[in-house]
Amino acid sequence: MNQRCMNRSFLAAVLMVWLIGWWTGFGWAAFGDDIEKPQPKFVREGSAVIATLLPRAKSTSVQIRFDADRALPFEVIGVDFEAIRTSDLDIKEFKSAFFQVDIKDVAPGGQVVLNITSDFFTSSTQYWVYRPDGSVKWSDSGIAAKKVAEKVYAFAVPIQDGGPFDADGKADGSIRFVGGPKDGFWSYALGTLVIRFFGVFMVLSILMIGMMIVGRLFVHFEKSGATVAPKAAQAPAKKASSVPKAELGDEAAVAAIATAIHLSREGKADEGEAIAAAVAVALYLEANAGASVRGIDAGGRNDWAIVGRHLLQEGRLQAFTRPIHS
Amino acid sequence: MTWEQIVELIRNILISQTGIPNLTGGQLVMICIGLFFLYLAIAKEYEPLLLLPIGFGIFLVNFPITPLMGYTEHGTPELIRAFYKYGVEWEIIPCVIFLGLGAMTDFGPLIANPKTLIIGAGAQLGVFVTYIGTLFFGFTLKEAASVGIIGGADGPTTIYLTAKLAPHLLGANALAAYSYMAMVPLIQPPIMRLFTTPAQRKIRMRQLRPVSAREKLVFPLIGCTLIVLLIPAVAPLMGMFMLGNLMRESGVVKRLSDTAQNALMNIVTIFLGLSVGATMQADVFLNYKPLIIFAFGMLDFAVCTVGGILTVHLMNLFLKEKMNPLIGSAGVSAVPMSARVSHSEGLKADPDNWLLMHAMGPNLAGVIGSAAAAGMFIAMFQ
Repeated sequence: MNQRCMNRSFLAAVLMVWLIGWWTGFGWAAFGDDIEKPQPKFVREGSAVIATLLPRAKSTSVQIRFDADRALPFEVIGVDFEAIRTSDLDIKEFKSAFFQVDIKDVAPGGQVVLNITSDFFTSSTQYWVYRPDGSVKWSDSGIAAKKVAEKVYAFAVPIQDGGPFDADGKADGSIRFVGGPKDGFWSYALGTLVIRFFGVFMVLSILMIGMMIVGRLFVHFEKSGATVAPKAAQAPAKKASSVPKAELGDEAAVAAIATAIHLSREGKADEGEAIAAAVAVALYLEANAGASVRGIDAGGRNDWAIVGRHLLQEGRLQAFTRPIHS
Repeated sequence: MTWEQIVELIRNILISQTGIPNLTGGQLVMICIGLFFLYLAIAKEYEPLLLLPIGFGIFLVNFPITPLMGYTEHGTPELIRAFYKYGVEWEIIPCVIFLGLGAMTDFGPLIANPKTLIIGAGAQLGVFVTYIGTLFFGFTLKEAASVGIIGGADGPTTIYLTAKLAPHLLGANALAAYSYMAMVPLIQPPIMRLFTTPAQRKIRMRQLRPVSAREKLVFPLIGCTLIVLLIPAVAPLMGMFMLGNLMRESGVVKRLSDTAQNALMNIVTIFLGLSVGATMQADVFLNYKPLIIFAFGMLDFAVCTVGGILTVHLMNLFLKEKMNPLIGSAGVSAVPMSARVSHSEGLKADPDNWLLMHAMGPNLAGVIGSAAAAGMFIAMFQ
């Protein structure tokens, strides 16, 4: 199959996958399963009830504390979203769960303040209330979360028996309060996207600055090390520079050939080429007694030899021949 | 025993102890998918090291009533389930692969030109674009993050993040990541040509400075310190990566370095491929999501490539010595394939322009960048 034909089939396959993905995506979005359903577990702690749950889009569990004033007896249970779902509600915005709080022994028509506290709430969290018999089933309670401690916010919800927050709608001495905390999904998703993308830039920039500083230090130390080196240490360099011209030319040729052969193998390697490259590398190393690139620089040889040898040195590294895992 | 009893016995054996009557259409489809990936691995040599065990994993687990991915009645995992549980679910294999990668990697080009780290960051653009895109398609935040990281073109990172956030998408994500990585030479060149002018493709870059062995030795320590301090969530991956590199550069543990690069890497690759393939059972895999993942995976790779190239263009506005924008595409990781693509595209524009070493910088930066992006996502859900 020629290149053009391969390209065409590849493009056709991509287009097909795209179209299928596009078409099926809407279907899935509409009928997707709620796979991150929070399943709160409740424990009583004195007069309070504490719900522990794994919220949507979190890998660690959080706690939500319910307290009724005047130590009135109450129960809290989790409510399945499907049971109280309306078409205008986006499940993703309710990260924690829905709760049903039943408060008993309330004076008929009386008012109780329910405190709902968590370090999972933020200043922008709203508490939405469900009213099954209302014309608008879901509405914002309109109560702002107040900071009660570092990172801890609380809603103090006044609920009147038979009032708008009482799901049973009757002033019968018992209150049923159904609802859940709501956080803006898209604002969070987009906000965190920007922060995290620039976070990657920031992390790599800091690493870059660190590497630049360290690199300069190394270059500086190596240069100053070279200038204060005793004359005896410089002798081999002088000796190297007195090597006959023809020999230098051979070395450069070996380096260049080895490099070219090695780099040409990036397509389909064959055994002959591999052996030729290995022989060339061996010749080069023998000629230089395994000298490093820096050693060659010290010899003050021509630019091409340095370039060729440097490429050769780098080309020997396994980074280029290793199997792809990343 | 009467004839009827014998027939009854044979019928019962056939129904309850052989797979033939239990074979479903979905399983047949999955077996075909497994064979398709085996074909890609063997005939086309697309990422054979991974696609062969993955393909065989798909092929094997989709035979009916096979005890491979389940648990025994005593609750002990069956064969491949054990590989999956202790290797992938416990997040051991991706980290061990990073150890091997570290031992194989020469950071010389990156150390010589640290500016290319920025390209590695810019090339993560697709990760975040895909993250938002998949949210529009009804994916959860965790699923979206795990699909987004495909564009990082880093197999172990994709597997590590997906196993952590959305294990039910592991098979599809890993397949998409490795398939598209194999297709880098097909995906990237048209985008590279679209976002560069012929003159820009001819830009020659100055030869990188030589990097001393001591400097290479210090890099894993500095790199690990900074990255783990800034993104602690990525410590398992980066820690292993830098340990592998330190073993390599120290030169005093050649046996360990050699084991990490070869024997250990090969062993875990077998278990990884098989485990990932085995997650693709018909009842789990055959739904709309894998198709969407494959579609977005492609977009992801394309946008990451664009992100890398645009970052170079942006950097060139401020740099005295211009960089060849073709090396930007290497920021998607996919070591060393994308660096080779940059090099060969550069050669097409100017046969004397060797970009390979220059492209290795962003290529390695891409590995760090995708791990950083994964760390950002992990931290987001903590």
